[in-house]
Amino acid sequence: MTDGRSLGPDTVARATLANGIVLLVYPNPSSPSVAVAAQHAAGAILESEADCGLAGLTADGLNRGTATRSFMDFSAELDDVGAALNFGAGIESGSFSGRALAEDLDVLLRLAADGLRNATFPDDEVQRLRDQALTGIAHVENNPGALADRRFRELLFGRDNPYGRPDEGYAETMRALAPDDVRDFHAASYDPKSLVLAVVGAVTPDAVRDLAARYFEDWRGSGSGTAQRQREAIREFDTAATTGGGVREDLSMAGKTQTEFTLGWPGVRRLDAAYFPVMIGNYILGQLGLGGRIGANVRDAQGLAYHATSHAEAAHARMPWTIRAGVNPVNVAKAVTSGLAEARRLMDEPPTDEELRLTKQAMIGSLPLRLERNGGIAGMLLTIENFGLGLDYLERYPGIVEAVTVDDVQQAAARLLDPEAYTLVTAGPELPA
Amino acid sequence: MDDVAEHTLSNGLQVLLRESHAVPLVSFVMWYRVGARNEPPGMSGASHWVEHMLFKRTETLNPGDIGRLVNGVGGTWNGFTTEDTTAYFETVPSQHLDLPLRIESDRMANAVFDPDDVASERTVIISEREGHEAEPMFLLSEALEAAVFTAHPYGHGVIGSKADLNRMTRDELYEHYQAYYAPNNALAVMAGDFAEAEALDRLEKAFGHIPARTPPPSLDVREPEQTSPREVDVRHPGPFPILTVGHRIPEFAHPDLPALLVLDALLTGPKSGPFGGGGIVRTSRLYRRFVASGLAAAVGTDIGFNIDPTLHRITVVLKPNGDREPIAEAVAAEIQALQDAPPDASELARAVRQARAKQAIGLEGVTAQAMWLGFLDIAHTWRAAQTFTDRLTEVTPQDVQRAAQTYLRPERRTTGWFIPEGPARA
Repeated sequence: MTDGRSLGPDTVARATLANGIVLLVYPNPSSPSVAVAAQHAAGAILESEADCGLAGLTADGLNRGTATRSFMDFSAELDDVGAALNFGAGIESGSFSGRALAEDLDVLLRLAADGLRNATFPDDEVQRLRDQALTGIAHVENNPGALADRRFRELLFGRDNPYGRPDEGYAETMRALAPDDVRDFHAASYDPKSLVLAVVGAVTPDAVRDLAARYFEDWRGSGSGTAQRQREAIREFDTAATTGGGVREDLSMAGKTQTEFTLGWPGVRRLDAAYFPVMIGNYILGQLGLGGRIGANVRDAQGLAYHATSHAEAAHARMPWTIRAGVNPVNVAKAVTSGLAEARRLMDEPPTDEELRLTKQAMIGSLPLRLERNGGIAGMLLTIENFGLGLDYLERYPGIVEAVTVDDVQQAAARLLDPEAYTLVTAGPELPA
Repeated sequence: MDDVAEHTLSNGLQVLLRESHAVPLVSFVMWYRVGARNEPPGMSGASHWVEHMLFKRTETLNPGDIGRLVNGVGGTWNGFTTEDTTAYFETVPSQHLDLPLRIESDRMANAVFDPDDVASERTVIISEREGHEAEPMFLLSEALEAAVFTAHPYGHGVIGSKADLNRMTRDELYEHYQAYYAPNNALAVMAGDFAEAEALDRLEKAFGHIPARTPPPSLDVREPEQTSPREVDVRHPGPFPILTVGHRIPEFAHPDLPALLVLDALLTGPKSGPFGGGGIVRTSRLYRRFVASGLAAAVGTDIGFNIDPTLHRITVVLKPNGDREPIAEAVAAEIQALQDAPPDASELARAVRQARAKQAIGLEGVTAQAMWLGFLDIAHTWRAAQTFTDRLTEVTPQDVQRAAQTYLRPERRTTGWFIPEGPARA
């Protein structure tokens, strides 16, 4: 049973390998598959402004050739058994995730280790990955929602702050990256000491431990102190967020019929005391049902938008709290005003008992759903380890959510959602005067 | 997929039950046999609009209530419309099974279609459409489908034309609802943590009182045979050229479908329907030809699982400013290769092994299981779930070659190009 209460210190096996790798195993015999998820300190936060996109390019290159396998060898070993393994990098971490039939866990771990440890980044493969990334960037720059969001982050944090830059890089920075840059980043940042590996599925902890030891335990890594560098970078850049004081930009795009906007403020850190009040406030503001209060107002009552929602992100650093919608250009002013009015109402008008009850039940009651699949459980184990929440976190979780009061929500909203000082980016057709 | 029980209530509601107690969740999916294929000219998008209206008002529910109630017990929910069906699902902790039954029974019979709600939803759906219009792929698909299907409603897309969305009246939508939302035109699928006998009893209580209705007349439009290749260009501001090569293939129930599924798996990897997920196979023929080689940025294929004859598509995303001619030639060469020689038995065996693994992984979770059963039953029969991968195993290399020779012929082909034109920034 994976209903949240059963995921705890008695059911999750946690071990540390000799080289510092933390291994978390949750046996789930109810499906024939296995999911693997891992993260380590090789995120975009370690990039310079000129290298924007380097962490992602490096992660993408891990399966493109190793000392003993070509890209096609690597792919064939996975494809032969219908398994999938993908590497990636976000702002605060590098990561990989994989899925396979449980009997093929060996393939996943063997290849993951080979990529992390032995990638060679052949020139022609890096060139192809760069071309693919440039196509992806061209897509972002042609997509109003993605472009509005990218520009919003630049304005909120500044382009000199990694939190203000896109993980996928800019066309000009990607064009300038050379295979040696990728090799250097890999050598300097890939380090077993920061690696957390979660394995969930029809497996036993002993068997997983043996496999992990076989493929990972003798990895020393040429990167050193990456975790420390990453912690320092987070500290440095976390404090640099602007307060979002009344900045607005309208980006005009040809051939579009709809305007997308992102409006928001710096939000919370995952470990802030205000984290749960903000998550509950955000759920009421722009998630519950079809977009919470914002959806009820902008979509249901006014019929202005198909999507109108709010989002509160959190990481080790403060992340944005945003309102987003896509509307006809003639309705931008109305939709922005309505979104801001709902933000103000969250501080002025306490959530109703019904809103609070439904939201708390949603957050607590959705645990079985969030943990239904092996991948969901593996992701939860990484979050628990990454933020030091403790293996008893899910046992404590209902109590933490229940303890949040209406006052907590209103205070968090009042502190963070200033309806006069926000950052707003619109993208789409020329706006009417 | 084994252990499925089928029942029919006295009012004709077909019921599929799949009990599994691994997780304390139950997924309930209500399928109506109505979609774009049931929409006559002038009514494109009606089924999808009706779907939106069923989240609005009944005698006991107000707009937004359904989402709030389901979220409020820790559940998830949504609705979707395709060419062939309109479906609604709720996945909830199993002690809340009565909630989806109450919601679905209420909106099967009692949706109000308040004129003000219809008016506000008109602009919401137009906004949904305008959001899609930002995507070159949407513009290309819409143009391609219109070029392929000159008579059949598959040619007008699920969301509908803006002209029809602006024109349709409340009463026409309500009639569409009344015509198709009857228990004897619906399929209820339940998967997860419940006891069969008790669930049947609850279903009878929730739906048994809704009377059967005369089944709606079938539109029964047959698309005329295509006799020569067609081409369509979409010229619009955009980031990169895109090529889609469509071939007309038969309906899902056709005996050639397994061979076409294997053929498709050789090109890009096995599909397990729109819900099981696919993910490109990097050793597949088209990935190697286009992406691993650096010739293009991305490639994919799509095979329709439809009630009526439908479409297989090969789509290639070029690099910005990429040259179009070599891409078109490479697609033609890959088609030719499938027609010229049967694939190696080992290549076939690998594709089937991949399909088995993807099935096992993709059907993890009660929502995916309920979706897969219903989806197959809409297209043909839920029993296909029991034999799906076995039927792929029976396909021979010669079957694949014959399918390529039969269905990938030039006279069944429609080639669509998205060609970026004009500045991206205004």
